[in-house]
Amino acid sequence: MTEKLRVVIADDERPARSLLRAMLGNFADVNIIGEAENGSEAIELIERTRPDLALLDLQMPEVDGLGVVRLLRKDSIPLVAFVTAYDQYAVSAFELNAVDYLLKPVDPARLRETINRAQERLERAEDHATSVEAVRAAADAIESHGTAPLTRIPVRKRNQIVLVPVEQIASIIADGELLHLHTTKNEKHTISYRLRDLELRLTAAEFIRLSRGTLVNVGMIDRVTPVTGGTYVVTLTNGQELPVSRIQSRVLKDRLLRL
Amino acid sequence: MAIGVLHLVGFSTGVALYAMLLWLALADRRAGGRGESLAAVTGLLGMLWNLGSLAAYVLEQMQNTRAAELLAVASYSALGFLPAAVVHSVLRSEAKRSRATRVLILTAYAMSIAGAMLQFSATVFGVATSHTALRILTMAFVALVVPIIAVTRRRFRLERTGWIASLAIFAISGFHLSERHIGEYSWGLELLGHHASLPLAFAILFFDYRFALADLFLKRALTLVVMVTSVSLLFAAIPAITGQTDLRDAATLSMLVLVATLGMLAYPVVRSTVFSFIDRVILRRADYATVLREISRVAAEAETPERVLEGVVEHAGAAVAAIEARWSEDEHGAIGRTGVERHVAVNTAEPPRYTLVIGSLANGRRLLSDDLEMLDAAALIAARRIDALRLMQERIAQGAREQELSKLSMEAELRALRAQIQPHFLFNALNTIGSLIRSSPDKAFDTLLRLTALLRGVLRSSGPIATLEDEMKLIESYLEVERARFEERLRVEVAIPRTLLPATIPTLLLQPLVENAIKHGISPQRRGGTIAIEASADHTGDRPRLVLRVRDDGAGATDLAVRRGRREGVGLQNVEERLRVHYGDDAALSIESAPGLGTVVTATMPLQLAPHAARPLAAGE
Repeated sequence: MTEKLRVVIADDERPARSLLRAMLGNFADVNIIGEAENGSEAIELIERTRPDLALLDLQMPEVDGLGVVRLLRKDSIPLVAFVTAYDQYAVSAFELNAVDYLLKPVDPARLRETINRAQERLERAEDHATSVEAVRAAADAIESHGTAPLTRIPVRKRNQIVLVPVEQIASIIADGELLHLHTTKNEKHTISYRLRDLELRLTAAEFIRLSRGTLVNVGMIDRVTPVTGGTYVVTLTNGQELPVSRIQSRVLKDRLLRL
Repeated sequence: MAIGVLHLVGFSTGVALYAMLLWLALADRRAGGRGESLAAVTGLLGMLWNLGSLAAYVLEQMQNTRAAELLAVASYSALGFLPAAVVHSVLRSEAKRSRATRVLILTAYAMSIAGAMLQFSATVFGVATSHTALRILTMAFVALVVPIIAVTRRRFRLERTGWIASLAIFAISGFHLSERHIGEYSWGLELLGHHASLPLAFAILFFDYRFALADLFLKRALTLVVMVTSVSLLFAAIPAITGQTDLRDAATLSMLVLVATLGMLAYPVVRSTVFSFIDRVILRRADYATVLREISRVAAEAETPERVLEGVVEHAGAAVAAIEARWSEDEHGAIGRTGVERHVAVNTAEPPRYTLVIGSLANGRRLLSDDLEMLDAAALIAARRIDALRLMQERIAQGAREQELSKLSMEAELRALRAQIQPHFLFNALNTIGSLIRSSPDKAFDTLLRLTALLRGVLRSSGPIATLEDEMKLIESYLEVERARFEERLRVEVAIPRTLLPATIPTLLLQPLVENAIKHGISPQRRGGTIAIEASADHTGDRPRLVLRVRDDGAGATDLAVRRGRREGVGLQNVEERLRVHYGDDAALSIESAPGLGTVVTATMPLQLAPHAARPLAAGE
């Protein structure tokens, strides 16, 4: 007899959680160690309890299922199965990346498969990093497809999840796989996201590229200073000074420096 | 005997002809024609002449010589004025009235007056009639021909020949009358001098047809004369054939009946022959029946009102030999180089109405009644075709409008169907029901019923207009299902006065707004939020307006996000579009939103209440 599989459930809808819990309760080899009502709670719960498997609802307020995976510390990411009512694009992305998923209303037999698969993976002690990469790749694919526009970006502040309103972001600067967000209050946050994908979802405020790796909030531009060589330096209201690339100087001139 | 009949017939025909001329001239004047008073005067003079001669002849037969003489004098005086009228008519149409023309006209009238005075003085002195006067008149008018030719040398030869001949005819009439009391009647002179002169005189008098009904007059006059002449000739020939002078002879009577019958049978043929003779030879007109057929064809082929008018005015203008012809959008359209001969109204059923503007005709012609009739018929063809085109256009436009409307409402239905039976919503609802089956079966069944009611409501919502009550029932079902899912996170407040429940709104207008409020306002919030649905009537304007408001205290959005959502969000676009289609500029949709505070969407439209009878009760209600 193997150890019981330690499972957490994250869904913002109580009926949905209770249905999953009732089904899992029928499985003798499953131990439900916690439930979360939203993404932030899920992160806290997972990092605290270190479950084997997390059943994450794809749609949750503030931090959704994909956000949970992004914001979890890499070493605390468990096996993940996403739960969704209907999202064809997400489903195909999961299948492509061999990420497990469940469709609502959940079929107990299908749930059983998910549990079995998780047990197998744990027993085979598969390379954990591979499965984390698979989930991240699926998340990237889904988000680059231009899902719901972001009004607040969830970021980690030590053990907390902070939601930064998009209109309070002054600049976003890419740094390898990470993005540094600078707010109007001159706070700095770092997230793991692709600049191109994020740009697509930032519809709540107008952003403009200053170079390949820099995005600024148009409303936060204070000064545009020409420098030798025909380019510019942009000064933001939070005091940041950012250089503009040659190509983007032309775009900037066309979009902003015309009466 | 034969000569007596000839006289009676000749004078009677003359009276009839001139009476007809007088009547038509006056009718033309009454009908708003150019009031050719000279034509009326000519008619009057001619009638007096013939009437006088007729009466004189009758009285003479009755041995009342004195009265006959007096009438004859009056009759001859009238005849004496006719050449003057001809001269006047001819010279008046000269473009520039020189002093010479005026002198000539006055001279002509002076001679006529002198002739008349001589006649009367002769009577007073006991002489029957003044032969001298008649001769002088004859000579004088013949003499007048020379200066008139000089004055009118620039005119067309045919026209000139015409009135010279007519002057000559009146002169001969005078001449033959002057000879009348000298010897026996000469047959030839009598025929030439009076009766034969009649048709010719008219043909010539109206050669430069001066008034609108002249063509009609010419046709009728010539028909009459041809009929009278041919019947008279046949009648005159009867004694020669039967050898009998007694009209009561059986053979003669039967011949008479035969002649009368032939005359009646021949009349339609004579009439149409005369009409076409006048149209083709004298007026040199195109065949108007053909012209109208051609115009009908051109009009039927035209696809726009402008093309119809162009085609019609071109053909009609060419048919009446107008130098210029065009169409205009107002009834007083002017024309460039030449003056306007006539405006012909194109009386379409609906404005804008157009006018055909016919410029002056070639060779100084005037429009006659047949021309006007043809132009009116052409205008009517144009009007009917334009009406047909407009009706067609209206139908197409209406069809397109209806199509757009039905497409939009169909899209709304489909979209609402997708929104409510949107897989996401539907599977979530089913998941909720699945969960409730275990925890609270009653609530599960209740939610199932709500879901069923919603699906039925959406599938049944036919027609573009629904009452607020119907829409709210549907929305309540929707909200119930969502409430089972979101539980205490979704709070709903409905504030709709009972009086506004029968108000009509486009079908499924509110549902997308409520759906948006849940999707963008409530569901992204951990704490959820409250949705308020409010209706009120606004009586501040000149017409009452219905104000519908969907309010949430949820996530809210920046102005930029609202603008993008309005532009790109299918739901809002559809709501705005349907408001526009139903109410035009009378409806408005406004969105106010602030991040963190929530969103208020307000739709205003004219307040229209459905009659109570139009609200069917649902089964079991």
